[in-house]
Amino acid sequence: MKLSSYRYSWTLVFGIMLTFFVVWGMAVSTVDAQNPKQGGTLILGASGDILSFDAYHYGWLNSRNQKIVYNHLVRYTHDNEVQPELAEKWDVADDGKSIVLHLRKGVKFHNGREMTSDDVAANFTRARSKAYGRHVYQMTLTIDDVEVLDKYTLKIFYETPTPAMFDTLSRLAIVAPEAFYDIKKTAVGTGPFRVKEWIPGDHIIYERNPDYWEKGLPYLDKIMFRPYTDTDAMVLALESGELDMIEGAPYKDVSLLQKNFSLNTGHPGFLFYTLYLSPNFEPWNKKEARQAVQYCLNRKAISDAVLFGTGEPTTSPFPPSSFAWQEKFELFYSFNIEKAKELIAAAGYEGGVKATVMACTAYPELAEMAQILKSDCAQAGIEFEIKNLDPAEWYPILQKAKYPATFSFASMGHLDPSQVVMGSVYRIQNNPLWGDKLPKAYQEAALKGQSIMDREERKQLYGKFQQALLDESWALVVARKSPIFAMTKSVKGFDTSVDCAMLLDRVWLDK
Amino acid sequence: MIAYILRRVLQAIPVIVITSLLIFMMLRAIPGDPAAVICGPDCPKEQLDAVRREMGLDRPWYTQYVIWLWRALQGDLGRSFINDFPVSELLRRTLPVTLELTFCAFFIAIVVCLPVGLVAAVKPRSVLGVSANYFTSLGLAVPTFWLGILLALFFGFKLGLLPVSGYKRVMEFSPFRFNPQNLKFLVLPSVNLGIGISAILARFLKSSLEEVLTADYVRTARAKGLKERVVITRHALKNSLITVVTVLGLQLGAFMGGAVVTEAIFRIPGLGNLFWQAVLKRDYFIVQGLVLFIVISFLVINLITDLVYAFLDPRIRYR
Repeated sequence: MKLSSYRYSWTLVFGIMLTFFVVWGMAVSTVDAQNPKQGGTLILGASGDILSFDAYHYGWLNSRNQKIVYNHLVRYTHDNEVQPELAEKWDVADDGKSIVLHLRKGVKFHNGREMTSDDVAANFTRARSKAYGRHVYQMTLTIDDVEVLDKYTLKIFYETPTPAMFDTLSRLAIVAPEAFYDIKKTAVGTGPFRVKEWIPGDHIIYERNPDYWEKGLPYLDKIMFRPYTDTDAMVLALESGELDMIEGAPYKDVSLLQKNFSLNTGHPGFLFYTLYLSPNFEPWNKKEARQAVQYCLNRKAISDAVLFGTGEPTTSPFPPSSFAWQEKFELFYSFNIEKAKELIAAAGYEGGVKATVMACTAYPELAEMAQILKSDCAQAGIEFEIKNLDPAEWYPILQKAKYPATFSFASMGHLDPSQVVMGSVYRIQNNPLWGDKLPKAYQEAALKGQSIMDREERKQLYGKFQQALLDESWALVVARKSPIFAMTKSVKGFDTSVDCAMLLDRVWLDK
Repeated sequence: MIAYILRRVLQAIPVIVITSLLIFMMLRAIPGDPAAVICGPDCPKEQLDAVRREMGLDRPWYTQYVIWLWRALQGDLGRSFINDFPVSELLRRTLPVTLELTFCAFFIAIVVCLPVGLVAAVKPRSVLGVSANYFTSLGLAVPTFWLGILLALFFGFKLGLLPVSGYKRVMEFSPFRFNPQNLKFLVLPSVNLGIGISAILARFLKSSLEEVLTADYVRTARAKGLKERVVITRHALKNSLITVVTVLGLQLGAFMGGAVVTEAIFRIPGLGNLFWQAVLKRDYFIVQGLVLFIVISFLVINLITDLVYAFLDPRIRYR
């Protein structure tokens, strides 16, 4: 039956109106989803408290919280491109031995004072001090001088061409010099948030920095940081709605958290797990014995059983995003017990050998890795005894290299490859394991690689570097390490820096 | 009595000094280096030495001890190596938390242990008596960490009745404020701690009461025709509480060091958490300050316990 023209007209009008409202509603919801909401308090649980607000201390949880209160001179994108931060632009000399930094104008510290090049120079002076430079000190060793040219310009001179200069600039946080005396307890930086209150062991309250130089940011009014000493209690708090987000979720809970929460695993390749074998202890004074461990170390099993698939097995200290990465070094050694047996016999231990491996209790996964190593290498005739130590006991042993073998982790291979030698066992001078007997091929490749600017040539050199490292096998790479951040679906805009520091300036709450 | 108290105070002084020296030496003797914690695992030796110099750890241990003791006598317990907070301030912040938790836990313990111990002693073969015995066995056997997680999971997560973690002050003193709404944060941790303590106290009360109920004066009271309830509450119970008070005092002294496991599970920023983190990081001044505080607390609590004996048992008099 045909509709009358009257009814047809009204049907058409109604249909058009309905379509209009549907499309408008979709557009509004899409726009709302893309437009961050201003305000709110993010309640963040962490797997431990920070040690202090010392911007030069990257240990424990300090590094992950750096970007909340501090800025650096430059920042890296996840594609390893350098971008301006407190330095707006720069001029690098062709010989790589100096750089002129042009600072952003009008940037204020949390105490209201404007940041100038004198402040940045003072930070360099502190970073270059052995007593106060902490983790940044090692990165400033090639700096010869820092000269203030004017209120917003300074020039850094290097003793040798320094292709890794931007790594230092991306890791040196700028602190108001008048706050140096109290740097552990107070954070006077230029970051998107400032510290309102810190009760050690209980909470930190960060409040929005109203003078932040990036206009419109941050979106949040406050961040409530709550440290947990028990990660199970932390996960329970997230699941029961007491927390919006957690950092440092245990690997075993990843599959559980994936169901109801969003996960972020940070920048790939920032950290990697390692096994160090000291050539100063038997049987690791024999290269064949060290190589045998490369074959009985079951990286896949560790990645699956200990890391629950969050860190891929690898033998390369460089991630795929690094120009020094080469596919052939990604899994250079395969799991092969027969090969391990041959090598341990070639080392003179046909009847088997006993050895000790250490792990630090602050990182439970290291002890679990040791268990897997013990179980697999026993089949090859290497009987490992596991020794678990707490951090205060383990750190000095690491520093003095008084271990026969230990699980650990390292970083700095994710940016400029020359930075991997910041780690003590990779050091090319005063190496704590080798002393002056560092394998020549390794040392030559690393020395040349850190002091030339040509990328292609450097790539070749780092190929030789990795070949030597894999051949000598004193620092075995096991798997990549990813921190796990879990958050409710209402938390939007979260990201990390390439150093896995939390970027909370663009986080907003969709609730 | 005054003379007795003064004598106990004077006797405490050498105890405190010797304990402080022992803990000082032990901390420096155990493996581990706070400078290493601050400097980090990849710290080169020359940098580590510079950090040790900055922290004053390059001096001989006896010099360090004398400096620390001299300052402690003036009320300065030093500063945390790690975060530079004064130890006295950290103690001032965490002590009220531990006191609140301890008070609530002991309240639960006493409320539970009295009826449980009574029933177990007076009617051991009844249903209630047998149940009371089972309760005390379970309370002693169940680990605190397991019970804590279960309580948080069931009452906090599943039922949503109570918070699974966190803490807010119930009593504040400057200005004075009573915040009863914050008691909800202490319910689960107090139950977690209180169950274990109540089991211990109930056991002691039961055995002490069983012994007292066979005494001659109790037989006389029954022979006089007094009701059983009066015999127990007015005659037997008071004497049987002496053992309970002793155990209570010891437990209280122990909890002055905080309850590490419960504080970790429920995220309570008390003395236990502070102590544990300080030991882990070899934050010497915090450990020394806390141990000093615990020793003094123990001595004070023991003195109060002895005075309570005199109240409970008129035969006990101090001169």
